[in-house]
Amino acid sequence: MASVGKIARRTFLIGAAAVAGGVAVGYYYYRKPFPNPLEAELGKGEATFNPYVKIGADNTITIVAPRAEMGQGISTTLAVMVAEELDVGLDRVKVEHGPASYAYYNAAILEEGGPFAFFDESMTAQAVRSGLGVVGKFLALQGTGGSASTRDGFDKMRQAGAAARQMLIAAAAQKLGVAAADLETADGSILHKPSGKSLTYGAVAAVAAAMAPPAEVRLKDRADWKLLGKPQKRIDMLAKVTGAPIFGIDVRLPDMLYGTVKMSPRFWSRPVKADLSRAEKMTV
Amino acid sequence: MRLTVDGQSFDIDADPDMPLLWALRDLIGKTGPKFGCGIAACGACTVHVDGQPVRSCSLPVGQVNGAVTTIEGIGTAGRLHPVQQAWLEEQVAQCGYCQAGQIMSAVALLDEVADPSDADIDNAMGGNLCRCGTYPRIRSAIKKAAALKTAGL
Repeated sequence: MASVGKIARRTFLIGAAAVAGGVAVGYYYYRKPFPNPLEAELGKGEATFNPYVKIGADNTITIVAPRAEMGQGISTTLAVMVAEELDVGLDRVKVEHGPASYAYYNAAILEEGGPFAFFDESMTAQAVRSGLGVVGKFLALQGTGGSASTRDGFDKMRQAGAAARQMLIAAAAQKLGVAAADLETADGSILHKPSGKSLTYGAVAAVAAAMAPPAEVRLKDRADWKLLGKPQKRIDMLAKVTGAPIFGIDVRLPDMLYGTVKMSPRFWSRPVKADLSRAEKMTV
Repeated sequence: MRLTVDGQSFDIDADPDMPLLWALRDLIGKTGPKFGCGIAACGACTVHVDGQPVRSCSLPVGQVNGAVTTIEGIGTAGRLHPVQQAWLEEQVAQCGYCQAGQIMSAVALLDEVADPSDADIDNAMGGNLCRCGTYPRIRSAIKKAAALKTAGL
């Protein structure tokens, strides 16, 4: 957490420059979205709508929650934001961390990096916050910390779910030859009530994902939330009670090498000499 | 050296001084038990030897005379042990790193005492630390597991 604070303070200078006028120069770049990293790793029959949603032809729905799960429950929280707008239950989706990518940059982690308290709503504080948010895009740090993940994801993740849902509805309207306005969604399916016809998300995913994302993404009214704002079961609980290999220490890669830090058994004492001759002879 | 782990027999080539935890994780591939402190002070590495909870990080594998049971041997995702079921229902874990050890200590406790009191729980679980501080949920999950076990679930 301290290192996040340090990085943020250092980048504050860049942030101040951005506020002072640098933003205009890079505005086009800032508006341009990063490429979707999921394109590169789709399975057979899978289609991706944006960096947060993949849907398979078999209607397997995968949500990417690209923050480090440390027990704070962020993988569940972020998945719920997408699931809410996508109109699927949390038990119907697979949640993955996804690849490392600039697309998953955390803007909010820097927003509070300025020398202001979070409750400071002065114009300077707000200007620096928005400036640092822009810097977040340029630095594109995929970071978890500073209680930023929920704030960063709240709009982004809901928009990802809502955009995918709108594209699925548009594809279904085309396929069924009906008006999009007459279609409803529930639990991973699209329903045309007047005719009683329905399609799974998976059945139209490939066509839907090839469509242009909606220019205007409509988010649900708070009153219509089914999942958000309500307690949820953690998606990682089963793995954690069965001893599944989900921790860094459990990762095994081919030809993995192991290293360790040799430290003094006493506090504050520095090494006087080190014989590295045997280590240096090792071949890797 | 032969070692029986979770009902399966393994032939391993290990220095008898190697901690049991290393043999389990590095040689046999049972990564359920975790390395925490390495000095038997935290309980993350807890496994059973003939039903008794032991700290596998500090027990030389050469001294193991009995069948070893790890978190991977008490139940599976499709068929949970009552203690795992209770842990799931009570949503005990946060980061989860200590929970394999917590669950193994709880399983051993309930094998000894069917309906443990708060004092029994404190005694049996005192050696398992949780930095997330999930202790209140661990206590209620143990009580729920006791009820599940008594009901034969």
